[in-house]
Amino acid sequence: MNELIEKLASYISKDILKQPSRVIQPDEAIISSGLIDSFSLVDLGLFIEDNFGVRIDDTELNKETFDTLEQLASLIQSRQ
Amino acid sequence: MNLISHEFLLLFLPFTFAAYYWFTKTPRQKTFFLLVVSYLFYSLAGLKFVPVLFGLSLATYALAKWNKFGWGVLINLAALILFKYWNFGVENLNLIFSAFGAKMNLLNFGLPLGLSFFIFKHIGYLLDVQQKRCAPAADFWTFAAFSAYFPQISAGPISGYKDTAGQFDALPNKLSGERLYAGLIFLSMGMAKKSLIANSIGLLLAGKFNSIEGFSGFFPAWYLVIAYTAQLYFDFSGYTDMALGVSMLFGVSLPPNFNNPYLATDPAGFWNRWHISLSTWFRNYLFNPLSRGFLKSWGSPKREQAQYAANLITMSLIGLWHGAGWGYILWGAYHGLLLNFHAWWKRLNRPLPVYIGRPILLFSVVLGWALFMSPNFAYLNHLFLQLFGFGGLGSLDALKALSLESATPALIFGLALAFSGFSEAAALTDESNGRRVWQMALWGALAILSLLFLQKNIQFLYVQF
Repeated sequence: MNELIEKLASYISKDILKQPSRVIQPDEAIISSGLIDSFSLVDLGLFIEDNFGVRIDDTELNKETFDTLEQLASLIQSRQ
Repeated sequence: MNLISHEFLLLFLPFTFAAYYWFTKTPRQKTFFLLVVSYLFYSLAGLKFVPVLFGLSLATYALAKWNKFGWGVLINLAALILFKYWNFGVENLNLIFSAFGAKMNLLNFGLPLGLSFFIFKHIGYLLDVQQKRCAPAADFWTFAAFSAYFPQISAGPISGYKDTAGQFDALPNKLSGERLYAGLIFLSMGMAKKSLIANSIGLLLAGKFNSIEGFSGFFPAWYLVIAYTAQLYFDFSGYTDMALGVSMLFGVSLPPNFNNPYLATDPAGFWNRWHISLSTWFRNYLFNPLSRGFLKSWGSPKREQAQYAANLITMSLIGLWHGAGWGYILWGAYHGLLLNFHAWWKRLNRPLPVYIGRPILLFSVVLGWALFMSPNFAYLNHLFLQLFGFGGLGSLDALKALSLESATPALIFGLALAFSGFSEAAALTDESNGRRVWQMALWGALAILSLLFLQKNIQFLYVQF
């Protein structure tokens, strides 16, 4: 679980936000806080699909489905 | 039939509400009752387009059943183009080809009530069934009740089949005190927003401000666009509150459409707060698949361009959805550019404090409404010249007259309410605060006042879309 969260956090800070030094906490709100936007969510969805073999549907890319890395990691694990 | 009319509020709603709980007992009976009442509501707005609603519902249901999703989407889009966009296309083609003597005729069908809203519900349903996000409707009558559901048929909110029709299977036999209370608060608040604020402002804007000759100068032009900013919000959010409130009375929860949009601090935040059901629809069924496609075909190195293209295409189509006119398309594209600018700024990692971000966003949104409200280029040109001071400041007499207009106190009160964060009905129905008698009396009094001030033959602005 921790490794999964680390990989997700690293992708968001390096590739999406382009701020490699930005630390994202596992329980930090990433969608409702506006940290990542709708397009970046699609980008993140594709990263998850390619790296973890889990598809997150277009209608699930929202804060109601997951808002923190912890929640996202749980969602991925539940579908693996 | 119109939600904001004496006929609906004093006859249709009380009688159907009483009959619903008196005569129907099972969810199945209640769903069928809602279907009949919805078609009655639609018929009272005009019989002419009842076959269009019924035919498209039947076609959508049948084509989903036969796994012909593409055909279902195509038929719905064809109807939308025929009724809403055909004449716009023909007028523009005639402009181009008039030099060659060619001319196509316009169609005079008129626009079916709620067409853009129920067609988007149909397309959402077809795509959800295709992607196995929801099971196809068990029977046509349930789907037809969802398609024509009267509280949302005129102007949304656009909801998904699973969320709305999913509730038809468990319609309560008795209305709980909480739901009755929340439904009446939503209804009263919606009536007050529309009747006491939006209409007061709208009466002034429908007068002299409606023509180029009617206003000139910096201050009157800014009065006009700020007044329109308030009118549109209170009109549409008033409608939505009423639709949600009426639906609650029948035991069905509809999705929210507004969340204090003028308190947003950036364009992305604004679209998470304004017409939420429409932006959610576009995000789910257009923006996300489009972004996914661009990212896959263009690759990560071009992710910025992919985002800009997806924003611009989606927002231009959101503009076009509002109406067949260049003003709407320009308004949509303008919001696409705002979103792109915001995305670019975000990459610079220089966040703006709220006290700077909010005024900049508000200024941008108000300028956008100037595009949205302009009926033609001549009006738009005149309005922008005045807004940027090219027509002088405005005469003192004109300013005095505006300050004495009855719309001015409604506008000041409306703006104060919109910026206070207390303009959403959802914030007032928090059960943890309890149901205080004085609150119920206040909302009852507001509803009566709204009914007394209600003018005849008024309509919600978004019903035309």
